Amino acid sequence: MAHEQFMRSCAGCGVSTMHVQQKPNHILHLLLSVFTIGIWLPVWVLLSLFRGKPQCMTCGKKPGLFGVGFLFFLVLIGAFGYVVVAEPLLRGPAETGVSREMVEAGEVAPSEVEPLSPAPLDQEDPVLITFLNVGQGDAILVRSPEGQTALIDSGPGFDIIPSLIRLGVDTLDLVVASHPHADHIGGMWQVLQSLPVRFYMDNGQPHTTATYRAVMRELQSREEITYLQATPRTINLGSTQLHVLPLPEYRSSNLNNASVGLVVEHGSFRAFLSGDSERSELGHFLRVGAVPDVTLLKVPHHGASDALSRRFLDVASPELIVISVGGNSYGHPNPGALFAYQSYAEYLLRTDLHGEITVSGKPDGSYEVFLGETIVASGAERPREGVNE
Amino acid sequence: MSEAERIWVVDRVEGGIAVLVADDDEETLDVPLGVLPPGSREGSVLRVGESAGEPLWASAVLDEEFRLERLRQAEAALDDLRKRDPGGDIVL
Repeated sequence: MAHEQFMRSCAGCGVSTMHVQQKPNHILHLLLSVFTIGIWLPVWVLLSLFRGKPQCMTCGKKPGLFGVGFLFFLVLIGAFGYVVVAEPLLRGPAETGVSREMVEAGEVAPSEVEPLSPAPLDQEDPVLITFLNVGQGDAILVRSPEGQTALIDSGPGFDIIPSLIRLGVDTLDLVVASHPHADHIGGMWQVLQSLPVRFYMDNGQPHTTATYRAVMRELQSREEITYLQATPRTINLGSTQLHVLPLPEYRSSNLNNASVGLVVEHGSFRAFLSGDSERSELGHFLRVGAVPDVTLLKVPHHGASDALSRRFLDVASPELIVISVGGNSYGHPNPGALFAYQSYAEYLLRTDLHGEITVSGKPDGSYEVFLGETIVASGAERPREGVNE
Repeated sequence: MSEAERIWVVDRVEGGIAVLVADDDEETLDVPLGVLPPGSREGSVLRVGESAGEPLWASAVLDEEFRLERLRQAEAALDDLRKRDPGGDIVL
């Protein structure tokens, strides 16, 4: 603060003496007001209005309002210290969670997503599993109540993008290639080209077709996609869990038997999806205890006779069976296998007969089956222990 | 006498039927396994002559070296992609 000096009569001294009066430094106050985003402004106003009485330089008298500004300054420092230092300490360590938006914005590497916690399960909110009608092949969309999406296989090259958009999909959080046969990855290159994909999982088994090579080239060039090998692990899709089953350790000459096995778990509702597993791989899943009691079974290998395992069906005991199949010259689905599936499950639906099929599974184990907007089947609640319990 | 040659790869075998994928445009074709050279199986690379745009299956020849080279390339690509895997459970 600057001071102004002048002569005037002093009541204390009884004579005219030199007096001094505070003079606000307006440039300094302006800078402080700007620096404190206006917080300093009241101090500036106060000091300008009440500059204090003139002080006699002979008998002395302290300026009146200097203390007001100083006190306000101390309060300001105290508040600043609380916000910057004390409050974070009281709040505890900073959260290490990484939001989906942060990952998408590239603020953190995808590998940092693990500290996030799975979304809590709401008893009323269902997981939606849609079997797209792609002809002879598989393309299955899983949607969590929180809006996360997983696409398991992409059909034989049939353009599934319009179907995905119609179902409200604008991003695929996870894409799984159950195995690299063309009826499962034929549309994969187009999916990768058309929609943002965050994670991609396959069985880690190479193939030699142009279809497979195009997908691999696309994945290699898309560094933002996090590749996941199908090892035993859980993918938390909001409040829905995808349990990845252990693959057989032996390398089969038949890629069907290296299909990625998934158990979709949403509370007590469960679905078993395993690409084109034949009896050999289904037997492996049984041996390692990876087959739980399920509500929904996607029949492996489009209902072929080589994928029918009564032992597997005894353990899985599905209430609802879906076959993803189209016109073909391979005899899919096999009539004998169809008869067996019908004897096990309450409902059997086929994409070649029913078109697109959506199963809505609630955490209490109940479910509804939709063909378009129409409910064609339903099942009551069915309490179960968790897969990992 | 064939006019041209096209590469076809056995994508899979469904029963007695080989499902082939063309290398140039990913056209798929179902062919009885019996008309292909002995030893043809999933992943086999075939060089097939054509006449008037039609494949001459009798002229098909297995290219084992090409198949192995492709497998090596695919393994290398997979090894590269595996480096992105953060491991463990994932929360999306």
